[in-house]
Amino acid sequence: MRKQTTLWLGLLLVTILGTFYTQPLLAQEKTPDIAIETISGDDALVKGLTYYGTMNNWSEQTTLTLDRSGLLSSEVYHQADVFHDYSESAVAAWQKDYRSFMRGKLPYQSNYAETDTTLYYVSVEEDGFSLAALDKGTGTTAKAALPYPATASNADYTITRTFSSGNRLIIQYALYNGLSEYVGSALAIYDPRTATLEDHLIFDFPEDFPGYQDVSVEPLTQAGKNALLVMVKMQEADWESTEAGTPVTSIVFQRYDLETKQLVDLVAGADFSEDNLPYAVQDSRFYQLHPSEGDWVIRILDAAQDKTMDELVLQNTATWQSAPDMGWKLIVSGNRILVTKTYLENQKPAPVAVFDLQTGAMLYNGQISGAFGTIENTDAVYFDRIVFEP
Amino acid sequence: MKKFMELWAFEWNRAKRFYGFLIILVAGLQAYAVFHEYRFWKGSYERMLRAGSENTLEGYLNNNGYISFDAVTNNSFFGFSIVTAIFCLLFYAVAIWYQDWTGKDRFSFRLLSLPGSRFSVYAAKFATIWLMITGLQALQIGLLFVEELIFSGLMPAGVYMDLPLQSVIPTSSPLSLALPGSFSSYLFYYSAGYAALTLGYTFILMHLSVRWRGVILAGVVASVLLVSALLFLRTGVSSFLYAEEKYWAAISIHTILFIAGTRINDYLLKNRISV
Repeated sequence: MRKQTTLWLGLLLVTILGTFYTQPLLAQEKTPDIAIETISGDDALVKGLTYYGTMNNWSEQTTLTLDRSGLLSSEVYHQADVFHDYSESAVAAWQKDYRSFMRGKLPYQSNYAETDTTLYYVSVEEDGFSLAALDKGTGTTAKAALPYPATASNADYTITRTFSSGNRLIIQYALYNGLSEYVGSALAIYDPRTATLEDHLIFDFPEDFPGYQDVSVEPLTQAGKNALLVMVKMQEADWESTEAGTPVTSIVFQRYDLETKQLVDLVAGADFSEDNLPYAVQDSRFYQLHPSEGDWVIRILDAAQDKTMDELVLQNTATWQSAPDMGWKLIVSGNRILVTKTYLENQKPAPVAVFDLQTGAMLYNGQISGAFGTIENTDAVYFDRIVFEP
Repeated sequence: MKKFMELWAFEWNRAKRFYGFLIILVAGLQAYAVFHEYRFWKGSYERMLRAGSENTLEGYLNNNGYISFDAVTNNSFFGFSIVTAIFCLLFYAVAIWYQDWTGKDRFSFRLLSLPGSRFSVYAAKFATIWLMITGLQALQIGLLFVEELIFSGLMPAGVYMDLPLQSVIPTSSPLSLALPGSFSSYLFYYSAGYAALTLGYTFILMHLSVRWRGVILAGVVASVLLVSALLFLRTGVSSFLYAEEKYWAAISIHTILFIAGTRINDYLLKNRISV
């Protein structure tokens, strides 16, 4: 072969490879077409509503944020890429806003707590939790070591949630024994200013219990006092049986006073033991969304008084098709109730509605609609964080 | 440049027979993979029809879903064709040096005696391996197009799901290494690959320069590089980098190794090589 031919062959091969790799770059990167559409009511009522979502198909992952003005951001990660940042969408948003602080930190939202002024990050270390705090206003950071509560020395910890209540930082974590078996859940309550442990609650998982334990904790406030609402769910599962039976579930509601450090059972909690219903907490009240004949209702537990309140009928909801399950999200903020879904399927709009907390009147009726993805089997968008601060 | 071009054409002409055989082998194995996968699908579909439980195409789709071309690229014959090509190219990348440095009337003597820079000898051999690798990649793109056309034609309408070719490259398969699905992966793997090839040539040239002392020296250099890489990773520095920073840091390291290796190879050829 002549020398020029070799050169031309080389150029031809480079052109073929170049075309192969540039073709998909030119064809894709379409921004997902997702928006909140108003059906009735003033869209000013959904001001302060932000969805943080993740969308997957077999070749790429897209994280996005959305509010009433449309898509705020959308980032695509290709599965075929060598390195990935598989951060949950809320963490991805913090990484964008606080790039230096977020460097080297875990991608799970459960390790973070955000207040109006501070972003906290906790991680499991050899001899305690490690705490890093960012002052969002000034950008200054602080670090501290939080000592472990005195629990079994051979236990392993996994942080399941971090949040703040008043001046306290609360870390919820799961405990595992040396055989990596789940042995319970715990709450460690710290004062982040002094890095001291204030209290520690353990919810043991009975050794011979055939099933699951799920501990959920929500902060409560009333008249300046802080407390925690603790819901301990025990679900029996017959591991031996091959037939699907109705699982036996029990939920115990407790109230923990952060000032007096007392944990009391809530008797009225028995009215709220129905499993897998969306709920929200505001001040000292627990709101649970229930299906009903006709319009849906909200049942209310006053955790401060241990009393079941009158239920609230959400008007104009009888036409909603699917039952209220964990695919729905309930947020109570001020004197407004927001009801929406935690996922959105391609070309199947999901409801967004705002109700009056006192009367249940529907003030805003809308929907999130979306046509997205580059191929037909694109998965749904999952909203792993929904913020509603009207 | 003229010397390089002539030597490149010369090396390419020498490699043609070996390369032609490799192309036929790869294309044959992949063609077999297409029909093998089709027969496999047809067999399972017919068994389902005979069983009579879900005897419609819709019932089959409900249970098994659509089939796409990634079924072929995941086929073991397809994977074997890629692995074979990789090993053959590795073999030739070593043989391209030793064929001139072994036997009687060594050809290396004439190569090194040619007027002009000796680096052209190195560059021509390297460019030949590059041409062989890139040629196989371009061929693979063409083969994917043709195989996809044949496979989609064989499958009944309504069962086959058309996917972009870049998407049918499974992320953990030999094909993803040979022809990565995205340009960023291509740049990463091939910058690492060509840096490794350059260092491999450094070790070969060390051997050709000072024989067994060179082999020992190459072993020491390789160990130092490996230990340095492990120590670097143990510092945990990489966990403080975002994905795109890790990516560009790795590309930079590959480039530095490639340039350093090329300069050492140039030095060895000019000053140390023996015939």
